[in-house]
Amino acid sequence: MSSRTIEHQDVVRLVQQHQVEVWRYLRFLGASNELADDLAQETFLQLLRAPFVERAPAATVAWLRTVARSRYVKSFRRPPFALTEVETIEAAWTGFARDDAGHESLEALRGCVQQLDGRAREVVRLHYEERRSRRDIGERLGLGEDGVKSLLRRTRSILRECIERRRKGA
Amino acid sequence: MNDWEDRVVDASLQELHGSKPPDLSARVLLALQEQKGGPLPTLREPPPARRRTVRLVEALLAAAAVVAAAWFLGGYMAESPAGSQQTEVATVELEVRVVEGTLECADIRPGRATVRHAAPALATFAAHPGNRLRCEARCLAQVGPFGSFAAEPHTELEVKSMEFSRKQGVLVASTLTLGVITGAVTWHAFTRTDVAVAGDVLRLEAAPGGASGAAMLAENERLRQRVLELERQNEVLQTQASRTGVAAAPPVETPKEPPAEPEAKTPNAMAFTDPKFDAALSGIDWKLVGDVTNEMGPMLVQLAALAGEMKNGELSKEGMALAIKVTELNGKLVAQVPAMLQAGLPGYEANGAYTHPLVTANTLSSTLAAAGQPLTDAQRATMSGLVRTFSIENQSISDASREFDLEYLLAETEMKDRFYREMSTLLTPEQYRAMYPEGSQSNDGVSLFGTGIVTRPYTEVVPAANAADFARIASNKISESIGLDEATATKVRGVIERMTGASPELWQDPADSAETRLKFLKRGRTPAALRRQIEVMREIERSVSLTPEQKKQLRSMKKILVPLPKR
Repeated sequence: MSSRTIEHQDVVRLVQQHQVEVWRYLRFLGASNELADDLAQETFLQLLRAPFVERAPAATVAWLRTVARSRYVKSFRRPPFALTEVETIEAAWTGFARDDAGHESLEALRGCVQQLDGRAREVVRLHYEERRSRRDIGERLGLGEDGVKSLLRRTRSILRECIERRRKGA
Repeated sequence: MNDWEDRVVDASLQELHGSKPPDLSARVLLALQEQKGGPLPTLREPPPARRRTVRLVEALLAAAAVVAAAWFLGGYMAESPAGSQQTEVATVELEVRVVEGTLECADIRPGRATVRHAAPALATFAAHPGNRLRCEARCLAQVGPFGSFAAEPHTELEVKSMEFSRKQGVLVASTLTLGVITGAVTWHAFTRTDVAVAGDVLRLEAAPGGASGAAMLAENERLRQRVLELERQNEVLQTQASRTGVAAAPPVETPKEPPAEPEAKTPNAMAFTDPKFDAALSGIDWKLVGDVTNEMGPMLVQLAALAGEMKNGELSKEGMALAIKVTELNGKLVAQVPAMLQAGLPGYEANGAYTHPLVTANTLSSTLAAAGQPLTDAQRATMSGLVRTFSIENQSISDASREFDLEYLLAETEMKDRFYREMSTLLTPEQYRAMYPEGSQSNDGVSLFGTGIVTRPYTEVVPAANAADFARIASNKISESIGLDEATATKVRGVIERMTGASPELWQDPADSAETRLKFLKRGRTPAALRRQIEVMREIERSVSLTPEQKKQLRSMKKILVPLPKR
């Protein structure tokens, strides 16, 4: 794609093309749903304010992520993460999102969750579906709060590996 | 797996379990539409942790509560007890009169089509759940007995339900519920004006039956037509005013003559300035703001008095005429709000910007000029110092980090209350009466120079016999709001009962009917409730086991639950 400056209609088109990735990226950084909505909107409005020139889709997405990240950081009085972490953050995100805003990974995750059993499946259900507190989950599973935290992290690690396997197999 | 890889999976699991990405197209489109032909909306830089971007349209619409006399009445109408009514659901054909633009009526039922009606047109629209009304460009239409609406471009409304209420077999009311799918709409009904944006739901009521139904409908219809007519006149006047403003705004310097008093030379000029905001605020027609504020002040007092005398929940004809006039004037103030928002003034949402010290001082200056009691140079010089001092405090409040969203509202309103007090002490008795017409200080929302207009949109009254009664209702509301299970809700209820029971200031003054029915809360009631609520919320967070999400929602709660002691 040749480079060119953009107009209002281009913004709307870019919103439709990239809003899911920008919103997911903000959620991944730690924004609440509401904050992600607002910051994603600001990010796209920035397309007209800043000297943005549209080139390849990948470059556009990278630019949008940078703006979104900057907006997110600015929403805190103290940066929520160190600048030195940005590379790690980008690597984690791009490894998950690849070139489809994370759709395929999410579908893979859906399948992986179905395969869980035992306490791993139960902790996912209680934490993500029923949104119960760690204490509550701990009482049900016979664990302390730290135990629940560890179980959740182990389960997510299993799921991460499962996603990788599924994506490689796809 | 590092922490960030863990967070990717965590966020994805949340998405799989309900945290879905929204369609932001309409929001961005609306923001773009709003700034078409002008500079892009300026967002606050940097936004503090709790600050969420005020969507330009949403904020503009929220600013309709600057006065919101009609809102008070609407609040009452919406909360009238249903009594022993029975409700049924049906599909009816509504008569739709398209006044301006093109309205598309989409009927999802089998064999039905989508029909476009260009103004002027008289159409029928089936109030069947799922059916939609669409406006590609701005349009204006009247829908049966439910009122008229003005829709922004790319607005789509969907029928959620159409219900009829019967009492002892007699049809007494009907309710049409519409969801705003995209865009924004302003809905004018008999005694209320609602504004809604994508994601909001409009609940519209009509009373077609009963002994006085025909007369009421006729009056309703007449008033709606009057509202439409006034809106059109208002638009013409605003256009003329803005043209005048553009022509008069740049002060022309004549080297041979010394500069005159600001009011005398340029009636639209700002009396108080701040280089950070001047560029945007100079677009405001301050003379118009002063004229309108000066005219509205006594009207609001009168309207509040008439509202307090309502019989059987009905406002007198005099009161209705006054409410319409106030709404019309309020529209002129609201038209100035975009410039305030674009200036990026710090404040709790739109009315927070409207009550910023810089805006307040300029409004007061032009109001006093309109009342024939302009500020003297000495007064202006002293006030300038106050404006600077309080503007700095306003900014620091906005930038500060706080746990609960409502803490910002409290800090800001306490600061602004002090500002109003200090400003008023600089005035002569005549000027003071122009700022605060007699009777304007007794209830929230009756004066345009008070923090009641900042808190009103977030205030929810809870009539209660005692602390236990209040705790029962309040805990239910909080439970619904942040999703508590029954056991947790019981604990929350206990905290509320214990702490509000130990707050005699909340219970010593029984509510009168104007407060209970119309939410004209006595001055001081809301700040007292707000202060206590923040303490209660802190105690809930400390002593009740909440999930991180529930804590987050509790901290971002904006609703102020104000106990109204029953007599």
